[in-house]
Amino acid sequence: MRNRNTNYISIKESRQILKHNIRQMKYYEALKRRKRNVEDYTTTMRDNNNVVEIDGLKTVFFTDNGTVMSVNGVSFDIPKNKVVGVVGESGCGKSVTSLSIMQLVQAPQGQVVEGQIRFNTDDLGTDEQGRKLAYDIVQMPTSEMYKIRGKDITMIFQEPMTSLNPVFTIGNQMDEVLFVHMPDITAEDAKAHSIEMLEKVGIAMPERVYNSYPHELSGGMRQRVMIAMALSGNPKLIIADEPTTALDVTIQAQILELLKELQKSQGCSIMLITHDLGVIAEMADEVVVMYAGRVIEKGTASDIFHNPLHPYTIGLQKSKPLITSPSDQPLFSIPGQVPNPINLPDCCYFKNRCNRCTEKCNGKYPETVKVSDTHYVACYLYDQEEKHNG
Amino acid sequence: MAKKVKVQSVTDSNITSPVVFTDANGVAVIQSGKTRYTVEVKGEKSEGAEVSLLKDGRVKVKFSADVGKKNHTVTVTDGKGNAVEDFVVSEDILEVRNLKKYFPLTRSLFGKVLSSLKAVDDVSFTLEEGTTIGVVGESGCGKTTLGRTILKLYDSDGGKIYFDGDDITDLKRSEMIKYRTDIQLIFQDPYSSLPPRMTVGNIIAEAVRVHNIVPKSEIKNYVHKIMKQCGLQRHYYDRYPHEFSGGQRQRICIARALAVKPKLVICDEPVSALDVSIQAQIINLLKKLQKTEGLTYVFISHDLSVVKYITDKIMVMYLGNVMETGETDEIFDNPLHPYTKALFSAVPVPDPDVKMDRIILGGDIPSPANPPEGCKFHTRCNQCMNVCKFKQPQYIEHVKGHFVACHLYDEEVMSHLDRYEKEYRELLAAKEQEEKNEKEK
Repeated sequence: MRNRNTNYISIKESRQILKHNIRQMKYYEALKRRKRNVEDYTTTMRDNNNVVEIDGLKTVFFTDNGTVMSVNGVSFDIPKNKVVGVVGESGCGKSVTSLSIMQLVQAPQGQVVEGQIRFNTDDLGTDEQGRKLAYDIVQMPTSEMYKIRGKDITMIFQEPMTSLNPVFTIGNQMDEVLFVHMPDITAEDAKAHSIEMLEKVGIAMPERVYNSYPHELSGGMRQRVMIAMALSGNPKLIIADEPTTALDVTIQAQILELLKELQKSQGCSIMLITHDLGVIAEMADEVVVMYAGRVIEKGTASDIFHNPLHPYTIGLQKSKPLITSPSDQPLFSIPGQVPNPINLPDCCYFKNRCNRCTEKCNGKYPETVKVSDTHYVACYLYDQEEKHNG
Repeated sequence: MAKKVKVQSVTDSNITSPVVFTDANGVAVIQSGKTRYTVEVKGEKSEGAEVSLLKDGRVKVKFSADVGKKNHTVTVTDGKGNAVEDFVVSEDILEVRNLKKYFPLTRSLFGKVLSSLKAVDDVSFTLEEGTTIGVVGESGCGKTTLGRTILKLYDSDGGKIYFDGDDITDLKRSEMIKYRTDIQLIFQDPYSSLPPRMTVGNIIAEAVRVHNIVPKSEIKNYVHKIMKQCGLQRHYYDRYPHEFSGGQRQRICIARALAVKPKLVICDEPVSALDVSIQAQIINLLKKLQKTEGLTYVFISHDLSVVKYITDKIMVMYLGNVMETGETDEIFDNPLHPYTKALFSAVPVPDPDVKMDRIILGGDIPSPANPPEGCKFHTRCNQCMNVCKFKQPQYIEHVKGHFVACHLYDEEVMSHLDRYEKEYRELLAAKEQEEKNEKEK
């Protein structure tokens, strides 16, 4: 009765996987350890107005059940002063993408194996053609990454409960950011700066919060502290990984409002990762929809919400009940589940759940089709249309 | 607050005519166009049954939860004395009256409770069979505690719970076993609520075996039938929970709850741990099962769009108190309480062009161990008056069946505002005086 596509693997297979994993992990760890000069990890930006350009990123995890392609050739840009929303279900690789940008992927089992993450920096100047020189975060040694992480690129995590250290005061943890990135700063200046930051995120009694421990604060307050910490290095990019999922609706509204305000006043970019389409609609200028480690559709917010093209994006929007939607009809639902990420075949991953699947979908993974200047989709349905027009 | 609050159940929007009640002999007469129906109820307690007409012209007889429809027979005759066979008998399957659940915080040396956390404070509602009530509110408002107190997993500290014609408030654990099959619970987290060492078949069959729902030889077939109903494939029977995804696990939880043929299912945030596409599948399943099995749900959730979709009636809770109850459509069309308004406006709408006039609540939910005096919401309310700071609001029936606990809709309070203002100032002065006296000491 047992069919083969379950998790069962024989002992022989398991040993093979283990051997393969060890070989691969050793190889990539050795790559990381080798000496590199600045030239080795310097590239040029495609567009000077982007903060980060992700190009063909592949992050894999070597697990006991096989190699998981968590992020499988993801490319998108994060422009300056914009909010880029990344949507997808759990396990689609949206968090791993953000961790890859921060070089925080759990090593040695998690490795970035391919692609470039270009980070626009002011340190290196421009090349002959006027394009800015940029760091390639994938090739960058960890010691160099320390200088960027927490200063130019910062992160707000999902759970404010676990991302603050319970044994240090808020002030202690906030000052640490400044001591690491500005070694000359005095303790008084650091404190003043931290309190100013706490004030900025709307905390009523910053002095008191500065001296208190994380457990004394509520969830919303902790998330505000996390945001204050992320802002204190004056970053170019904030990665917010499900910043409001653990919070109540009323607190979520407060935090989103705050993020929006701060993004405008500080002039930074935000990469907002969430599964809630409502949050995306409210915040994002550009939207990237991910499914099983791939970008299936990207465009501006109005492209995605008013003219969704990929059947998955359409299904995702229809399956969310709205306050305004009638309750007497059954809710639209996408049948089936997200495929097992191990050994995915080279075809559209969504075809088993798709209601507009054609024969063509059994072939290779669809190429990304350019629908308009801002709107891209990876689906055969639109490939054909283009050919008809041409 | 008024002590005897009886919230009328008016969930059935099909009712057209005014409602009449049976008299001491169990007889009621109701006029439908030209026909005059006579309804006769025989049984233990025949007085006070609710008789009404549905939109399609049928007669509906409804018993309250403390009476119940079992042990009662209903006969309906039309004007000429002929018996009518097509009528509806229904009941309020659950009624909660002034339910309280306090958790002790500090005790004196001899065990006397000095201070307590009022998790559920004076909650009343009725629930008709086959309908769904939604309990919404922020975390810490007591919605989960309410669900568990109804199940009698916690002992209540006051109030009454009537289920299917019986008073189950003070039953012992052993006496409660009888009702365990009738009331079931679906938990929020499908990852921690399934035993990892049992197969799916065993998980579903365990309670069936304990309560002798079907003969031993038929258990396997019965479980297969239930699994099919819940959208689980046949060969999942021998598998373990870790082999399934979140959505499938939630289906197993639902199958487990359904296997004992319950009448009332308490769903404690059943979809909040699931992805959007899976969430829709589970909601559709719950709705389908309600139609086919005639289930009644208490649906606890913080996701308002899901609540809107699945419920007939809504109860908005804040710090253990009910702020507003009423029919779902009525509350969503016309929210009255400032808290409900703020809650609704905080839900993000998936359309980038819609710019809502958002009411942003300041601050956090106060600690339930030390709730504010007067109206519990007054610390965050944008329409707060001085009355709210010391006087607890009464339940006001604004429209029929739509109750709200807010001074803004209390005509008595609103017309005597200056008197309450005076009272408030006096209270403040008294407090100041007290503080002064203490300082002098």
